Amino acid sequence: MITMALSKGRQLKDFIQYLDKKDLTNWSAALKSISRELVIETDSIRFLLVKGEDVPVYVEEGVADLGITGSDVLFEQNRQINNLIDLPFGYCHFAIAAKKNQETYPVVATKYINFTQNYFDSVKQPVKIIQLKGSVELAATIDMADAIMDIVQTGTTLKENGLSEQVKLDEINARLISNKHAYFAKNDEIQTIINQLRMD
Amino acid sequence: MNSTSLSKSILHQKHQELDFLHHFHGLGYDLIDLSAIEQFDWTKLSEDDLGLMNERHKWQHEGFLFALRSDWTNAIVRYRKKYQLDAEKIAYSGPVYTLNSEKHQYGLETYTSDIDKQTKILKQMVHYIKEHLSITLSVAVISHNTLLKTLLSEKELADELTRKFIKERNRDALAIKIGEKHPVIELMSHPAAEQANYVKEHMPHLKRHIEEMNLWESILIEENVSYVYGDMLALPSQTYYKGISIQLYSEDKVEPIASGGQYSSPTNAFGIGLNI
Repeated sequence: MITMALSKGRQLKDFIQYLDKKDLTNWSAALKSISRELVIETDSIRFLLVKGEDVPVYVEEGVADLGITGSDVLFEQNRQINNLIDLPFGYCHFAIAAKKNQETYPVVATKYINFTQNYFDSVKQPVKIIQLKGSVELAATIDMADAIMDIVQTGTTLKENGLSEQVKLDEINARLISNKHAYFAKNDEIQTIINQLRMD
Repeated sequence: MNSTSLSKSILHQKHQELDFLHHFHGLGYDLIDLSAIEQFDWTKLSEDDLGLMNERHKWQHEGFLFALRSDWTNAIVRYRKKYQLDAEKIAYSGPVYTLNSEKHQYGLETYTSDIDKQTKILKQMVHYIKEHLSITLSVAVISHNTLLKTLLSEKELADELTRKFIKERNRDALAIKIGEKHPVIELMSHPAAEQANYVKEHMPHLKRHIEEMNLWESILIEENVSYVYGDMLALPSQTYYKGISIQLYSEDKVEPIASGGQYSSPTNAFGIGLNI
């Protein structure tokens, strides 16, 4: 039996759609039937429904053999996991957004402190990073920060808060990840799932 | 757990440890015990010492750096650099600490380049796991720590991102980094269980590595381990791991019950440790 950690919310809906497209209706039916449950089981797989940022934790600890989460989460967390294949949903990208274009952004608010530090190190600019847990746009809107580093899908939220994308950075999408040891200990089952989920 | 069952569990663990040491002492192993607190000189820290420090509890006192033992083989390697150890084969037991966990390791080491003597140690450990601990081994993973050195350039091997993508088996990202036609990318496009066969067929210059892996694989097959995989993408965690590396798994467990391998520091050796 394989255990897979999934993130709740929009990514789960996208995953169910993808399962239907791949004719994996047994799994999608099980996932569609959930209301408030956090664990759901079919005859071959157990799904754990967790917060997206926690998916790599469950996988690294071996509680889940596999997980699906955004590459933004994996960029930020340096977890000991296998980062196996791309999945065709959850598309967005990292971006620096601000009220107006500036040559430098000395103060940046973000949830993604490691990614932000790496980016500013790579362009050799000093930066003060303010870590926030949510509503990051507000920091630039009220001038607490010169810019924000966030993930952008359509840009609507930025626009509604008087911000616009200034620097487009790494693309993001969903990734299938595995526990390092389960990758071998349950190799047959994991390889079957990789083959089932792999993009055509 | 009530106090009676807790006491039984503690007694069982202590008895198990003694049984391990008695058993292997009876088979001719010298026993060794080392302090769980290791002392380092700041000016003499090796690349390996530095690499492990992120994962260790450490502190400074009177100009020296101290750290809790995180791996027995690593501690013994350092001991052998400093002191003479006459024994050809040793057994040990004791705690190891990571930043957030404590485990008990029971292990065996032999200081010889004689492959028959090295494989005998593996057989004895497998027997002990099966007969004394009554654990069935379902999966073994065998890798060769120098195999990737022949497929990657020195620059690629030293590149942090390249190493990260290989460790994470992230073929997509690695292909962007080193090119879609790189032999490692070709290798990674095959399922893990088929990679050894791919190397055998398409990379004849790696014949020696594969033959060495086959030898150790045959021992584990003889010992009735259900699945034995060859891992072609292993990157050694310490520079002294220069040959075969082995991980043994019991049914439905994702952490290996035992792991070990060949190393060279300062002379050829083989060691395998049980994680309890």
